[in-house]
Amino acid sequence: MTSNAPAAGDPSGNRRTFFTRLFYGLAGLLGALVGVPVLGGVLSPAFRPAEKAQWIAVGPISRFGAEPTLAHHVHPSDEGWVNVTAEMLVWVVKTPQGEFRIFDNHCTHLGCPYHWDPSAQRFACPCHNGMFDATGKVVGGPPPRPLDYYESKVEAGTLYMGPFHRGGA
Amino acid sequence: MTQAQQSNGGWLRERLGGGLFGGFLNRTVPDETGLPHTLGSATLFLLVVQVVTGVVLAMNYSPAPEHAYDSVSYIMTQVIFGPGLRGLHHWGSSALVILVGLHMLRVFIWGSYKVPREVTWMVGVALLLLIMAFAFTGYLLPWTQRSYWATVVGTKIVGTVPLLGNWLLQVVRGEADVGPVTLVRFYAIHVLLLPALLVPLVIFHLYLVYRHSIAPAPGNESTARKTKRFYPDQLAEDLGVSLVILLILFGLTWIWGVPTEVRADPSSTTYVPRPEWYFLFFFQLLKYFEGPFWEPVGVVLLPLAVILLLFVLPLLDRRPERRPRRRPYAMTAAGVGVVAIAGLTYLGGVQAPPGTRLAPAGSSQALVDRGHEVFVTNKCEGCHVVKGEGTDFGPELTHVGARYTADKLMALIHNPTSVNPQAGMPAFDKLSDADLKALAAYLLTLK
Repeated sequence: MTSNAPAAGDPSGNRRTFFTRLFYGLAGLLGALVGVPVLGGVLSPAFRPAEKAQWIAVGPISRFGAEPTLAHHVHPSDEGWVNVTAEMLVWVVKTPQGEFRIFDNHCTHLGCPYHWDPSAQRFACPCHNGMFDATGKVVGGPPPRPLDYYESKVEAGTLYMGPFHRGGA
Repeated sequence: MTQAQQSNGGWLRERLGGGLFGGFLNRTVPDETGLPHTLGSATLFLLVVQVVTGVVLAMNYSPAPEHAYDSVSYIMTQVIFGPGLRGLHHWGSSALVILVGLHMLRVFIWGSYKVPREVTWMVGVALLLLIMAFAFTGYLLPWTQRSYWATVVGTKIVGTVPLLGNWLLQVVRGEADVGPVTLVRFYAIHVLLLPALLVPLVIFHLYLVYRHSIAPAPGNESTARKTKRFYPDQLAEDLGVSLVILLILFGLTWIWGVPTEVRADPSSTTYVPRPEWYFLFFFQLLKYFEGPFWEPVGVVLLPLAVILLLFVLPLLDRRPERRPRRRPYAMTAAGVGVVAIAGLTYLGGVQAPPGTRLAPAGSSQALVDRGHEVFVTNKCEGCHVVKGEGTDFGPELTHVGARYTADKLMALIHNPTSVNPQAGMPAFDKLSDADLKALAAYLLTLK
C-alpha cells in the first residue's frame, strides 16, 4: 500500500491518506457502536449483583443431633426467567455447645458429594478419599480447605440456613 | 522464505494465498460509483448487525411457549444493553427489508442485472427470499399476541393451497395449531437453517460482484472510463452510509424502543391479527382473491409467478440496453410494482382485516379492550400484579374492580396522592380523558 503511494505533497496522495484515515475512523466507530453493546450483553452475567441470601427453613431442631444428619429440602429460586424449585442437601451437626453447623454436601476438593461414615466418625468423600471430621476440618486426603458451610440460626424451634461461606473463611 | 518476503508481510500471504481479500479491496470501480451503490454494503453491514445482536439474544432466549415471553422480558430488564440489542435487532429487520428493496430497485433501474451479471441478480433474489423468511420466522419468537396471531394468519395462508394445503400447513407449523412445536421449529429455522444458507449465498454474491466489478453508469459501458479505488475511497463512503443507518436504528431504539406487547393468548377472541408491515401488502392483496378459484390464484400462483419472474428476469430481458429511458416497459413494470406494493401496504395499514371479531366501536367491550391496551403500553405490569402476571412492587390489581369505583380509580391514576397521601405511584396525568376512562373500565372488570 505504501510502496505505490505517490510522493508526499501529491494531491492524490493526500486524498488517499484522507480516505484511508476516514475508512479506519469509520470502521473503528462502527465496530465500537456495535461491539460494545454486544460484548456487554455477552459479559452481562459477570456484572450481575450477587443474589441476597435468604434464610431457608431446614427443619425442626429436634431432628438434628450430635451425629451428622443429611437434611433434604426444597425451596423456590429464580434462575434467569424461570422460577425453579431447587433441591438441596446439607449436613447438619449439633455441636456440644448446642449450636448447629450446616455443611454444604460437596467435597472442597473437586465437588463430589460426600457421606458420613459412622464407624470412623468422619465425613468421607468417595472420589479421592478426602476426609473431614465433624467440625468440617480436613483430616485426610487432597481437600485444600475445610468444608463449605452456611450460616445458621434457630427461630421458634426451627433451624434456618443463611448465607454461604467457603470453608476456612 | 527470503528476507524481502518477510518484511513485506509475506509469511501469511505465502500460507493463505492472500490474493482474494486483497484483490477484493484493492480493485477499482467506475468513477461514477457513489451513493446509490452503498445500499448493497449497507445491507451487508446490517446483516452483520443482525447476526451479532441475534447471537446475544439467542443466549438469553428460551423457545418454549411457557418461557419465551419471560425470557424476552429478562433480556429487556436483566441483560446489560439488552433493550439496545433487542432494539437494534427489531428495527434492523425492518431496515433490512427496506434496504434490500432499495438495493434491488437501484440494480433494476440501472439495468445492472444484465450481461454479465445475471447470476449476481439471481443470487440476490434468493437472498431477498431468505431475508423475508428470516423476518417471518423471527417475528413469532417473542411470543406476544401480535407475533402469535400474525403467525397463525401467515401460516394459514399456506393452508389454502389446493390439495396440498393441509399437509403444507402441518409441515410449516409442525402440528395442527401454532404451539410449542411451531415455536421451536421457527427458532431452529431462524437461527440454524437460514444463517447456514445466508452465509454462503452472501459470499457467492460478493464474489460475483468482485468478479464482474460494479456496473458502470448506463450508457457509459464502452467508453474508456475513469475509475476510482474501491479501498479506501468507495469503502469509506459505504461505511459512512452504514453509520448513518446505524445511528437511525439507535435513534428509533432510543425513542420508541421495542413496542410493548402482551403475552400470546391462543384463546383470545378479540385480538385483531395483522402481519408486520412488510407482509401487509400480501395480506391486503389476498382480500381481493376470494372463492375456490381465485383464492389459490392469489395465494399460490401470483406469488410464485412474481418470484419466478424476478428470478429469471435477466434471462428473459437479454437486450444489452441499460439506459432507463430506452427501457420503457421495464420502467413501467418497476413503477407499477412499487406503486402496487406501497398502495397495498397503505390500504392494509388503514383497513382492519375482515372476519375478525373486533368489538364494535363505542361498545363497552371496545372500551375495556382499549383500556387493556393502555394498561400494557403504560407498563402498569412493571409495578402491579394481575392474575399472576407482573411485578409486585405496588398493590396487586387482580381484584381491584371489586374495591374501587370508576371515579376513584380515575382519580387514583391521574393523581394518586389526591386519594391516598401515602401513595408511592407516579401520577399518570399525561393520559387523555378517553384513555383514562378506558383504563378504569378495564380495571373494573378485574373482580
